Amino acid sequence: MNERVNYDPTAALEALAHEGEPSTSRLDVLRAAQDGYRLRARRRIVRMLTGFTAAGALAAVAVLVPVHIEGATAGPAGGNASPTTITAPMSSAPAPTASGLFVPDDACQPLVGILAPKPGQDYTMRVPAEFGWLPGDVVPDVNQGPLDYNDEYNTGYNEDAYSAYAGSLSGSGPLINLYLYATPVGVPELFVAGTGCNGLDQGGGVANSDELASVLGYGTPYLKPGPDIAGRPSYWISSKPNMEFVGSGAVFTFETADDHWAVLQATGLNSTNLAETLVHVAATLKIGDLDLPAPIQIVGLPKAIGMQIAQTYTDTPTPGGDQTALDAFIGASFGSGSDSVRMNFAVYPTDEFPASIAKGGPCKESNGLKICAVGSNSEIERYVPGGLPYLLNHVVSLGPDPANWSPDLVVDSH
Amino acid sequence: MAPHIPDEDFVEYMSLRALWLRRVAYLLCQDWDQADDLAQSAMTRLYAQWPRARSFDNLDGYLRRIVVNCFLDETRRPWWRRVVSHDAAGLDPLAAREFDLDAALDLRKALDALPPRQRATIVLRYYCDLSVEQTATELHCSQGTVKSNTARGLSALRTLLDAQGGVRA
Repeated sequence: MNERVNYDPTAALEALAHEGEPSTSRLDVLRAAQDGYRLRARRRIVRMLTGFTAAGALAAVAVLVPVHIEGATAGPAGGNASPTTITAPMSSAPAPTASGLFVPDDACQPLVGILAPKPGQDYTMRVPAEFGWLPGDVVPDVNQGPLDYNDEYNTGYNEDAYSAYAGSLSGSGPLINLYLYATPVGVPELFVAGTGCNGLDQGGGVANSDELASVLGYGTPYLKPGPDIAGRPSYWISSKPNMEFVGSGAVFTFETADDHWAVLQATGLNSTNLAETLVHVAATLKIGDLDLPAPIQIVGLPKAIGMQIAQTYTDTPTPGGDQTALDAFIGASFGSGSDSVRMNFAVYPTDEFPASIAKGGPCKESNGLKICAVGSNSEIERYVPGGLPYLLNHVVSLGPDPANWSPDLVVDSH
Repeated sequence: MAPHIPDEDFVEYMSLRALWLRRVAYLLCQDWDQADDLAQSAMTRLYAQWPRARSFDNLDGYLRRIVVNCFLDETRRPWWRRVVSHDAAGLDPLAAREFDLDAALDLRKALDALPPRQRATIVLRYYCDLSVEQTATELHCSQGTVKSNTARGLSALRTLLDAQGGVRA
């Protein structure tokens, strides 16, 4: 006899999740850490945060599948021009592109503004792009900085896109992602060269366009020319022929003044003014060899200990917004190659330091900031006599006001 | 190559949350073997972000979002990439399967019949106890889509469970 008693999805799911659970598990936390560390070192961080970037996905798609280009309009949803279909060539060899140009074998052009830190030497933080205007009422934070300089796996930081984020990475609100690619070729040629220059891959050995389209869930991407940005071309990108933005949100790509390509990807923005917002963000973007000030300086370390900056980012309030929180993360490595060890300096305003950081690690409060040295002291002591406390003693707080920060992160090394 | 020494706070966190993560993954994919793969991928992705993620206010939510994204990504793939070696841990895949098999199979079949995003919506709403707004954020869709997916998913579940003889909650 069929019995249906008070169907309760919560209780039913709870029961299912527990009742059928095998007592043994293949989960391996230590292996996850090893794999995750390698993943981090390969700077696939950007894609991991959002699943993968729509920009990267579309870059890969367009290598293999036809790309539709519609008539030019100022916004993503307008225009009635009939789509034009062109076929982008494979990236494995130079081939004529849609514009009749050839993509050179060595199409990668290093981004300016990123200097490779060297062991035991002073270091100034530089970036190749910064946000200018942002809708401060909806994206309260700006997070920027080269994600990881570690070249242990020979990926070469210049080959990856530089990325920055406007919006809280830990929150659920709107987010505007910026990616700047080391690719000096045009749309859709951007996508042709994308896989070769930027190390984009889907990690699964995609074999053909059908599989790729299936993997990405995008099918064939559609490009629609957008307004010129500082006299350079731009495109809206969508998976829909009507340029409707779904899934990961709006994607806007444009050529920069220094002949690279930038991609803005937005999620959670108000759709009614989305186009205008992204166009304005693009138009006010700062491109070039730019200072990235940090709230601390690491002063007077002996060159002999070989400290090498490995990862940096800063979180600052969006100009015009009402957010006051800020933080910074400075990672450093000691030793070389596979025998290196890492530690991090975590920096927050004194009264906002998360309790979850630096359990048991040395910290100090100075000039309105709390700074903690996070890592394995015993490992660091293999390279630095005095370990984490010694390193922390060489950190100078510049205070919570970004106006007093400095891009000169490591100074007076001797 | 010398192994990387995992951050202690990551190991500590995952030792507390691994089972929960695995259960969420199972409800999404309906297969304990695949659930282990999904959970392993999610842990790996979390560790790749750990220098930042460790300070997140809602770390559970962040990890949940990762595993949901892993699941939705995999549903779009025509293959399943194994990331965990099956013989690594000397497992007995049939161990401890002493449970209410009929009821579990009914619900599993019903869940399995739902489209992936409807299933994810149901799991997030009723197992992870997320609001409509939170679920919309996690799935990158509108609140209206969450509501419609919830209604359709629940309706389909009820229909399927009725057809299968019901479930005792």
